[in-house]
Amino acid sequence: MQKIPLSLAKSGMKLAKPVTKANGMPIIAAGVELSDALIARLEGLGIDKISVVGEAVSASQNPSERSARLDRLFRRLEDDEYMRTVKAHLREYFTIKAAADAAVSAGAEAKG
Amino acid sequence: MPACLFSRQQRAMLLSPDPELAALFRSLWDPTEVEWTVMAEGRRAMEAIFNEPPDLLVVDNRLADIPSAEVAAIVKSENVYRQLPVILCLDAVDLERDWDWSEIEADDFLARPFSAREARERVQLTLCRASRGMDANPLTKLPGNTSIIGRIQDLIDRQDDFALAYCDLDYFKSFNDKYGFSRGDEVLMMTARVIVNTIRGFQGVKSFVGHVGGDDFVFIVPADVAEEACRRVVAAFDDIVPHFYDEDDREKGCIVSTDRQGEVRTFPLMALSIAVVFNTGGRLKHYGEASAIAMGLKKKAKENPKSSYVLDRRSE
Amino acid sequence: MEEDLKTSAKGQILSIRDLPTLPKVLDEVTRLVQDPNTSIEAIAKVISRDQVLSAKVLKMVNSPVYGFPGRIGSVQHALVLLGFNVIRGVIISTSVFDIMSSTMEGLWEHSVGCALATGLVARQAGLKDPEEYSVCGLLHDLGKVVAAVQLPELHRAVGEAVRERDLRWFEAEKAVLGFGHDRINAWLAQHWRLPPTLKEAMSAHHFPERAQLYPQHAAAVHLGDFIVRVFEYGNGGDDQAAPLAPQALKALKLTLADLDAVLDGFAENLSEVSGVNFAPEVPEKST
Repeated sequence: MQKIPLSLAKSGMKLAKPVTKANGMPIIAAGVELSDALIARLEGLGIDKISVVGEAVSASQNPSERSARLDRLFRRLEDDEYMRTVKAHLREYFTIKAAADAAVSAGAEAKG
Repeated sequence: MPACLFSRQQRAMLLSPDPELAALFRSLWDPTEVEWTVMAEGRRAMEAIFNEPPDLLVVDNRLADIPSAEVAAIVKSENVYRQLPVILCLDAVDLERDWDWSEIEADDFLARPFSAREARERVQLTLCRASRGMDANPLTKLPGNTSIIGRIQDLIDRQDDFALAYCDLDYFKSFNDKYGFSRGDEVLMMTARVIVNTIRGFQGVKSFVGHVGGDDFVFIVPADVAEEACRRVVAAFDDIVPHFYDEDDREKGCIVSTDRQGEVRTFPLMALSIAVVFNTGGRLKHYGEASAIAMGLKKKAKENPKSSYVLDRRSE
Repeated sequence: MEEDLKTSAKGQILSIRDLPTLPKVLDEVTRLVQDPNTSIEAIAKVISRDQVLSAKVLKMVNSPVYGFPGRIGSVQHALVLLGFNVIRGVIISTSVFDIMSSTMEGLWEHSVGCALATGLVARQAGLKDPEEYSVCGLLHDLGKVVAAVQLPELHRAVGEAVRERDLRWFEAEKAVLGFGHDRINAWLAQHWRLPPTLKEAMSAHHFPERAQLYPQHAAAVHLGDFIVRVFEYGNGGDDQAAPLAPQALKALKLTLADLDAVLDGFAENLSEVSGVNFAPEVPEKST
């Protein structure tokens, strides 16, 4: 399940949670499949974020992926001492991020 | 008659020995629209032209005493008469040679045999073009005072509900003093675009933007959008004008200069002051009333060093 | 021989008339401008994600015809000054690439990613008007697009050199052309009278230490480019990290550790600019 800005909604996506008005009153039920018309209606209602079914974490944003790619990215800069420092710093950054993400997912699963 | 010529009778002068030509021109308009004076000799006409310049001069190349090109040259060589539009009437044989239009500053020509329809439309076009060109502000090309006054009076006469906004720039002089007139001109061009585009952004609404001169602009919008129009114009101007200053002045938010007495003076960034006069329920009778009310409001707007607008809240 | 190529290439670059963009971008903007109720802000938002449309409006508003060349460096301001009519004219006369390659799309993503990263760097460095820096990031590879359109053979040769010799795009340009897209950027920025900050950022982003007038702008773009490549977002022509000039961090008074906040911001905000990627959110405490 992902919360996304309405601007990224596309027809075919399914609502993971109901869309509600500011006061909590549900307008559209969970499970409803989005259509262009429905998205337009949500725009008109001033809704800006919705929760949709699906898990697509882009490779760009996945820290484990990022960490694994560093060697390839820096392959021609191995002789440069400064760039080695930079690469090490980035590796540490992404490793910590990956670990933090894993902890959060584990926590969510436990609750879910 | 095109709207630009609507306001008053046009006085036209024809210099031609050809009675048929005179009859043709006279037949094309009602005398109340265009009043024709015809003279058969060129030289004698010059004094009449100088004393009471007509709105339009048509010169037949068949004049016996002076070539039409020379008449045009005499008229155009004087700055006080340059604005007078000149149309030449030529014969087919005249066009067998090249004419040096950069030397002969005529505004248009007609060639025999004349088509009545064409003669009429071309003359009207020349008159309209002349009134456009004469009145446009040389920098921004926006309509100038004559058009502005004409438009205001027109709306007053028709008892339209409208708002008349007078804008000018505070601290424009200090900007010019520091950065020079060329950069000052840039700011005026920018201001013109900001006002024009903001006003035009109101869909389906009749509007008008004029440039009186210097840093004085005028815009006319329906009364109900006046406040929003001011708000948007001011917001856009304030957002963009800092970029016309050098970085250090932009950072400080002001210009610091020393005057001749050695006094240090600070001037804030330029700001827009707008005074808005409303004509609702036909309360205004004459454009002069509008500008008088605006001057009073403008003082109030200028009390605020930042961009501001003051709306005439008087009730009818 | 090299000088001849540079001169003739410059002539061809500057004679560009028709700069095309991606179909999906053009579709979206066209749709927007057809609705008379669309706000300038909404149009600016979409145009700011496209290097070609942004370049076109900045070029037009900085033309002497408008009366204030070299003053306008913000897409939003450009649109306010051009007005709806002119904007619509620019949009409808913009074409799309005949042969849509994934490389071109990759370049678009790379540029918009660089815009995002550069803006975040500027914010982290406490610079005023981070938006001004974003535009510099957006346009940093415009020279590559213009080269692709105006010098297609040479562009292909550069791509081959990248593949065959495992070069970075910039290195391959130097090898094949004798000059890089930073030089092309300089030509374009000069010819189009773009503001000096934009010009310096576009032409000095590979060697920010050489920037004389606006070192911070050049440094911010340099870092932005580095960051977007670390995330491999889009495609700048090769799959290598850009060498990072330590002077860039110095010019902005940033350390490597300061960059972490920028990296965080980049990952979080990617979904806003990508249009196809989702951002995972921290799962909610209650269902």
